[in-house]
Formats: sequence, structure tokens, C-alpha cells
Amino acid sequence: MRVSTALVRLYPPAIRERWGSAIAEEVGRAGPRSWLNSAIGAGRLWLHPGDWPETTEGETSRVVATALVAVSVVLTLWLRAAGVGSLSATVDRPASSAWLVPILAGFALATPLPRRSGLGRLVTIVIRTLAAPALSFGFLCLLANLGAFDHPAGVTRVLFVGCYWATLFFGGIRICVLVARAGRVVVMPSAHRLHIALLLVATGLAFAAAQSLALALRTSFDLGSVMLICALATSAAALLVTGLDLRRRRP
Amino acid sequence: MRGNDAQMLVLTVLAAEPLHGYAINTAIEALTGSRLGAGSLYGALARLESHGLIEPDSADTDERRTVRITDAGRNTLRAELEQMARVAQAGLRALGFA
Repeated sequence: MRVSTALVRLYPPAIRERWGSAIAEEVGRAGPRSWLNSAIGAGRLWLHPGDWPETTEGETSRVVATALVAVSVVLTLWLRAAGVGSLSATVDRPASSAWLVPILAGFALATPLPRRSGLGRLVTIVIRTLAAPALSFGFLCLLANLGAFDHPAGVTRVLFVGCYWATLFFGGIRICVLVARAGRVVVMPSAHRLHIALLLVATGLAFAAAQSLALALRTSFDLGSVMLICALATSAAALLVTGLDLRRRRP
Repeated sequence: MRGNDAQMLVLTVLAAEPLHGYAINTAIEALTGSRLGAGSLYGALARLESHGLIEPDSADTDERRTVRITDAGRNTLRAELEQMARVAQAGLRALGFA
């Protein structure tokens, strides 16, 4: 793939549709010295959905909702990999999971509503998109419950762990695909609803970052915890900026 | 728009005639001696269009999306240029050149 094509793909879909060929031409003629500026420009535009042209009805909401799910999937997998106990509630620390409350409220607000007329199509899309990850997950559960592999070692263990993470990644990607596809047959949330939803999710992530930081200050810092705190804080800031920018979009 | 050079430059070159993206950057190069990066140029175009300061040219038959300045864009550009002229005059006076 040519670099100019790859750089154009970094831009939000509406910008690609409107200016994609022109951006590729500009990058192609300017050469490597324009690569950084193009990538930064793409990042800036993702943070400003109010600037995207509405090339098809509801496209901005669909793309923002898909991006929100993508960020959430990546962070969920990261938290799963890090096994962060400081963010999970226990009997003696019931408030440790409080950061999830605004995030769940945000997701409830951002959830698209099915159209009665498009219900059949929606079910078809859900089945087609999630059938493969559901089968993978079922296969994994079956293997885990067979009992023959209770304490795998060596290559078997590596294979099991690899399968487990591959299934999680695959499921995450398919969930993003589902939101992108289903967005065409459901009623997407309005810009105002998405604005509030993004602010709520950003608040939850900021709480999670602060909670992780507080724990690291009490105990000790390691590279993994620093990276996780940075990822949570950066995601919170990005969602906050995007959410605030959505206010500008006309209903 | 104040303080954003890329948007200001785009509006300035579009004030003369409708242009497509590459031609806008060529006009900016003729004006300033250097081209804008693709990210700066198309970010500025997207923002100006979202604010209604430029719009797709209705007479456009070019695949490369010619855009033109709107009346709101002309008013904004004039206000910005007048303010810049006042600042330039004050600066030159302070330096003893005007």
C-alpha cells in the first residue's frame, strides 16, 4: 500500500469521501516531509466531528459511536491484560468500581434505537456479524470445560493463551463492525445525546485514571501501570474534546 | 477564526476565485513562499466549510471539489484583515516607520 493511501485512511470517513483523493495527491507530490503533518491533521479532525461534512444522513453519529466502541474495546482488553485489581470492587472496597457508573450511563445514552421496520435486517446483521466470534467463544468455553486441559503446560499453554486473546480481539473487532453496520438500519443517537454520552464516558475514564494513579502513588509505579494511567487519561481527554466539539453540530 | 493562519490564508486565496484543494495550496505558495501541509490545508477547509465560510462551487465540474468563499466568509475575512491592518499600522508607528 502506498504511504499516501495509508495516510488518507487515517482520516474520518466523511473527510476521506470529500477530500480523500485531493489529500492523496497533495501527500504524493509533497513526499515524506508532509507525512507527519498529514497524520497530525487526521488526528485533529477525529477530535472535531463538528467539522465533518454530513455526506450521508446520520453518518457523523454512526462514526462517532463506532469510534467510542473501538476506544472502549481497546481499553477493556488492556484492562483485562493488566488485570487491574485497583479498579475492581471487592467486599471491603465496594466503591472501587464506581468509575464504571458514568461509563455505563454514557453507553446507555449512546445506544442506537432499533427501527420497527428494520428489525429483521438488524437481526440478520447481528447474526452475520457475531456468529463467528460467538462460535469461537463457544469453542473456547468447550475446551475449558472438557477438563482434559485443566493445567496445560509448554506449547499447549501458549496455544491456549493465544487462542484466548485471539478470540477476545476478534470479538472486539466484530463488535465495532456490528456498530458500523447496524448504524445504517437503526436510529442513531442525536449529536446532543452523543455529546452528553461522550462527556459521561470521559468522566468515568478520568476517575479510573485518578484511581489508578492514587493506588500507584500509595504502592509503587511500574511501566505497565504508568502506560495504563496514560492511556486512560489520554482517552478521557480525547473523548472530552470530541464530546465538547459535537455541541457545534446542528441537529 | 482569529489566530489560525491556515484558515486565513485559504480564505484570502479563495477571495479571488473558486479553487480546488491543490490549486489553493499553489496560490498559498505563491503568496507566502511555502505550501501548507495536507493536514493543515484540509483541516482548515473542513473547518471553514463547517462554519459556512466556504462552500462547494455549484458550477464545479471538476472531480477535485472546487470550493468558493461565501458572503459570511468575505465578511469574516474583511474583519480579520482590517484588524491585522490596524495592528500592522500600530506596530510600524511604534517602530518609527509610519
